[in-house]
Amino acid sequence: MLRSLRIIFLLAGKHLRVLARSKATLAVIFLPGIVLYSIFTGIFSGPAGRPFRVAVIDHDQTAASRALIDALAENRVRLITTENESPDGKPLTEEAAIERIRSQGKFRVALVIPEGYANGPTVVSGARHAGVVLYHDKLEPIEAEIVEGMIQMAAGRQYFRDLVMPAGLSRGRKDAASSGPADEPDARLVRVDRRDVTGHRMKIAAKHTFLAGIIPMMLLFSAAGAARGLLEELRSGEVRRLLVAPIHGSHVLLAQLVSTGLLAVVQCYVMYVFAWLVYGVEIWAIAPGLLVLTFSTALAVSGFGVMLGSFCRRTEQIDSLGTVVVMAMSAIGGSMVPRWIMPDWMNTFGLLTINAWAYDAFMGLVQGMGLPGIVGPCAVLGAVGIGCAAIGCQLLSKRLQAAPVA
Amino acid sequence: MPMLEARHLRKSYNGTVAVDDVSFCIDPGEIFGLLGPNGAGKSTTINMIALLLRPDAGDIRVGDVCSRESFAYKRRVGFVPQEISLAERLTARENLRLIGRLYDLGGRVLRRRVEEALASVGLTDRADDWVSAFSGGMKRRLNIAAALLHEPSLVLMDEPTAGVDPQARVYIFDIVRRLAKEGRAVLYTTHYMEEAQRLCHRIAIIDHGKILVSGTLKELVGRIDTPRDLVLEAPGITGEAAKQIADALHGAAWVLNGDIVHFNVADGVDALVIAANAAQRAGVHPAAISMNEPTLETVFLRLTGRGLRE
Repeated sequence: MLRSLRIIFLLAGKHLRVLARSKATLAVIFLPGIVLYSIFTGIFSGPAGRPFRVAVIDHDQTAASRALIDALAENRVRLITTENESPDGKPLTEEAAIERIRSQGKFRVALVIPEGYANGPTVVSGARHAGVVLYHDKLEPIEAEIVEGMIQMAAGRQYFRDLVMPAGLSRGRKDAASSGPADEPDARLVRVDRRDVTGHRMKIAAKHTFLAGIIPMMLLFSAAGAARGLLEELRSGEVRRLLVAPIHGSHVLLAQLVSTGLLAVVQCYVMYVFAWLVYGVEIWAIAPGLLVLTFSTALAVSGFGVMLGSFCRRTEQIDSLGTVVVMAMSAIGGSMVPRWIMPDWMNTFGLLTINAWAYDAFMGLVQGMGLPGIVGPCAVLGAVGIGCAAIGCQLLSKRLQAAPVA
Repeated sequence: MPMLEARHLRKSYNGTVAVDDVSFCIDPGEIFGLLGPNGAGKSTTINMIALLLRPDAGDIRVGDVCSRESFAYKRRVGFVPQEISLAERLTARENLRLIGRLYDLGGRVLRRRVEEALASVGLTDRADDWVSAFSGGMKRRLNIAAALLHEPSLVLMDEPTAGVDPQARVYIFDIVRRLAKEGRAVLYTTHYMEEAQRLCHRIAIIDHGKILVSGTLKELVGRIDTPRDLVLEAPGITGEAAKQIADALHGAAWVLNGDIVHFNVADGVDALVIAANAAQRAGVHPAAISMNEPTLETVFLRLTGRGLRE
């Protein structure tokens, strides 16, 4: 056992040493992830320049509440009012909206217009109004600020149209003087009760979403590269040379698994540290869970690499098949498009990929699920890695017996 | 006791028999050549002996160790593959240290063996250069050094001179001879029959998975009924004179090419005397008369009906 471990780490060390001597390979391993992450995070960070999604629950169902909703719709926001997001779907409930902010990141803000809103829609007209409730992610305050600004603007317009315009400006001044803003702690037109639904959890932001997505994609590409290396070693006779020594074929494959896995761990931490330094991703608060997730993902992708290397006969096959498989897994697994944007069936389908499990586990960590909350996804990743490696061992063994000169 | 004993080896792939009942032995200090055209079964045989392939049937022993005791067996066998099977981005010394450690060598023993192996193949000066910077001949020599680190009793060499220049080839020959002198058994496959003739104490010719014949070169030549090539060089010799000489040689077939006539004769020494006398009688004054003995190539062609490279 100890001898086996020594041999596995000896061969893995050789792989890593050879790798470290190729600056071009190192650049290909580490740079694309950082570049892609920066680009995607740059594109999708913050709400500026793109519409964002606001859940709306209208308990009032009056002309005034509908007017507020219509006014909001004129802005660059996408209002979601139903469960399945279709116009004739079941109305969205308050609880569902909160859950989607909290755990799925589907919305940043949910606006609840309570019953009675129409009775006193503005602060300046008296203190009896119900105001509105704005559920939001405390650490993602920009969207909530923007939505609140929109609400005040819409209410202001409404007030101006309903009260000031018909009676003249003096009425408005009188109203303001009689029940003036000085009596109210909140001097805005509509009282907005902002409620944080995420507590002290980290925010679900582009910097998290794309970190969760791009890391598994980059690791899979590296694993495909390692598979190519294995195939080249088979073709060059290096593997034959090793197998003549008193070692087993499984040692060679496990060494490949270890070296690819260790490289994947380093890749992950390079990305984490970059995300922490440049985008302020709080990796240290979730360090234990991140460590477990990193090793599970590394095991899964390295197993995948071993299986791919054992399955393919030629490097051209790896270049084509490997790229297609990795791209497809990345597309449906949340590496290119965040999983919370996808329809439910695609989310379920995505679970066939390593990317999706790694993505979900990472997002679970940043949403405060902690280590116990990601045990399931990590176990799946580990099982995938072990399964793939076992299949790879079988394939390689058969292949070496069928054609020793690979 | 033979160093290598291979008995009744058999291997087939998808119903095609690649090696069929191959048996041979190699003694300590002996260089044994395995010759055969492409697809004859040489590589399959050597791969089975190196335990890279599992035989369908048969036994292999190195000394008193059976191949079923795989690790003990492997420690006695050194394999020089046809490919340059070394990491290009490691130095020569790093490659050897890696391989040595796979054989559980370590510490001072490993350092000493690595330095000895490098010295034995003349690469001490280039020990710390990456293998990618080596010439083809140097890589071949390092390939051999890697197979000798653990001091094996049996060395398997699969076309170790393929693609190297003549100077490097001579160097490799010297290494092979030295291995034999040290008492190791060497199994050597090559496409170059001249190499087999120069190096090997015994040779086996294999074709279609079977060993057709084996023995020393002299034994092989003696076993086949091959006509010798008697060459007579005489300025101005005519076809008529050549015919008279051929008649004296019991009607041997002949070819006149300028001043040189080739006769296919069955026997050696007698034919020389008969030809000389017949030439005198025909009024021919030979400038030279010689007999070309059959070569390994002649034997090979005769047995397999094809050349090694076909």
